[in-house]
Amino acid sequence: MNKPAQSIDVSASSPSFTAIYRDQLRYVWRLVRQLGVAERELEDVVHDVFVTVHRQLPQYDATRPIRPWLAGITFRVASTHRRRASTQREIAAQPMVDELAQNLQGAEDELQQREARRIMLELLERLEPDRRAVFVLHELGELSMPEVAEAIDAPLNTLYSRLRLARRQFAAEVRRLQQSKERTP
Amino acid sequence: MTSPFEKDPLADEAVRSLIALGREEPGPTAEVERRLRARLHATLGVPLIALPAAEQVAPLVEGAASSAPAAGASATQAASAGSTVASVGAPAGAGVGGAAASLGVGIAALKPLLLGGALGAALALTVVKVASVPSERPATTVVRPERAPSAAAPERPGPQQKASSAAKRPEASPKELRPVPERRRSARRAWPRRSKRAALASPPHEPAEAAPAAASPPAGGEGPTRASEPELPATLPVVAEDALVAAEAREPSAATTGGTLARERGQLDQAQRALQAGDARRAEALLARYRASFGHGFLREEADALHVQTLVALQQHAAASRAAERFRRRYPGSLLGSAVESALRRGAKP
Repeated sequence: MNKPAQSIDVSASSPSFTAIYRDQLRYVWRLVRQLGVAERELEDVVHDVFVTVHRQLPQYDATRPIRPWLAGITFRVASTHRRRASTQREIAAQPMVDELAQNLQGAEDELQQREARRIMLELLERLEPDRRAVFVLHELGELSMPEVAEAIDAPLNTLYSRLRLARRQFAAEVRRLQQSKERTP
Repeated sequence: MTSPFEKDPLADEAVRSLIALGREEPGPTAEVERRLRARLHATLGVPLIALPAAEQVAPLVEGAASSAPAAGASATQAASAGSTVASVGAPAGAGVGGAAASLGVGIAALKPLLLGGALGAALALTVVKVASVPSERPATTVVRPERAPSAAAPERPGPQQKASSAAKRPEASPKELRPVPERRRSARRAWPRRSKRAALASPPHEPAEAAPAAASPPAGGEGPTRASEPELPATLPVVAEDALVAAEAREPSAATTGGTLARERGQLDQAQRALQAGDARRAEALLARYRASFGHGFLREEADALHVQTLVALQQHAAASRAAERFRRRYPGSLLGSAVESALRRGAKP
């Protein structure tokens, strides 16, 4: 008789790739954008994320929530992409947030909405990359900190420290922007 | 002296409003989503359904499906609150998917930060729009292939089906496959691995070979069932390590170059399911068949990781350790490294 195999905690059935794509596309799209990928390259990077998801799906432990796993893949693909020189150049070419805020004056509603989101992204751009990743995954991606630790494979205490610094820096940037606005008649 | 603002940076209402805004980032436009779907289909051979139109234009709002009525109610409240003072604070925004609502902030807090009243009103309007788009998508639903000839179409077509339908599937239309702008082409060149995958996944003249049963999932399901899979001997020898090493040393087989990513995935899926079902011997046999079929297949990294897990499940700890060592050597920094190490740790526990 065969010796009974040791149980592996992957008992739940994995979701299909199609279901993941359907349910998580916008989440992935949002994370990729907020992790600093340039607008014109979003589509390519999201494509690469889902190709990686397809490859890694046999390894996904379906007993665990999908988003930390997905966020980990997204984080790695986006980080790799950001390291490319072309991406860095584009980021450097983006307008400073103060100029952007001033240019917003008098814009129409739809443009205002879009630009408000851009300001959010500009503020994120000012965060140091490691801090930004934690801030995005926790505050915007709504993962718990243990889930963030799992997603980006870093010690929890380190991540708490990064989050604290990121929050402080983000708030300082917002305050600076407020003050800049107050000085502008 | 430390201000309350410094003690809790998120206490500032503008900061909280910005975070709420960040959580409501929209997804891709319908046009981009359609293009992305076509590209993924071409790369992976997986037919993907289109997102419902309402979902394409609605920003991502977590939990909206479960709180759609509340969202509608909150939208009404917010709208009635007036354009200049509209807020998604705790009472009015309770249904907005936990984004602004969970923070209990008012979008109006962004007014002084950005544009003043006009933008405040615009942002409030955005939230009203978000809240008024009910999501009818349940947490888990049955996937229906787009334009499927019948409701029983398989999610992953076999090679023969793909070859015969390649010319008529919607993603292959000239409009879909129009020339890629130079800007995107340059981005693609920086991803040689994906280009290779795309070429492998959709060879120009894939032979219409008979689809092996292993790679042909049954109609209408997530994948093949045990009943539809080819019969394997009741007792299967675990693949000897020597044979594994020899297989690794072989040149890529013809099957590798002629196969598709979807077929590889199909075989690995079967092995994964066998492992999940506790039938590690069958999983190992299926992995051996994968190696025989694909040699240096495109998903070899995944197969090797699964091999380690299978050996652990078979309680062949020494072999698992050696396989893990080979895995580390071959794929340093692999995303699957943690899964391999985790399997080893599980195996080490008494």
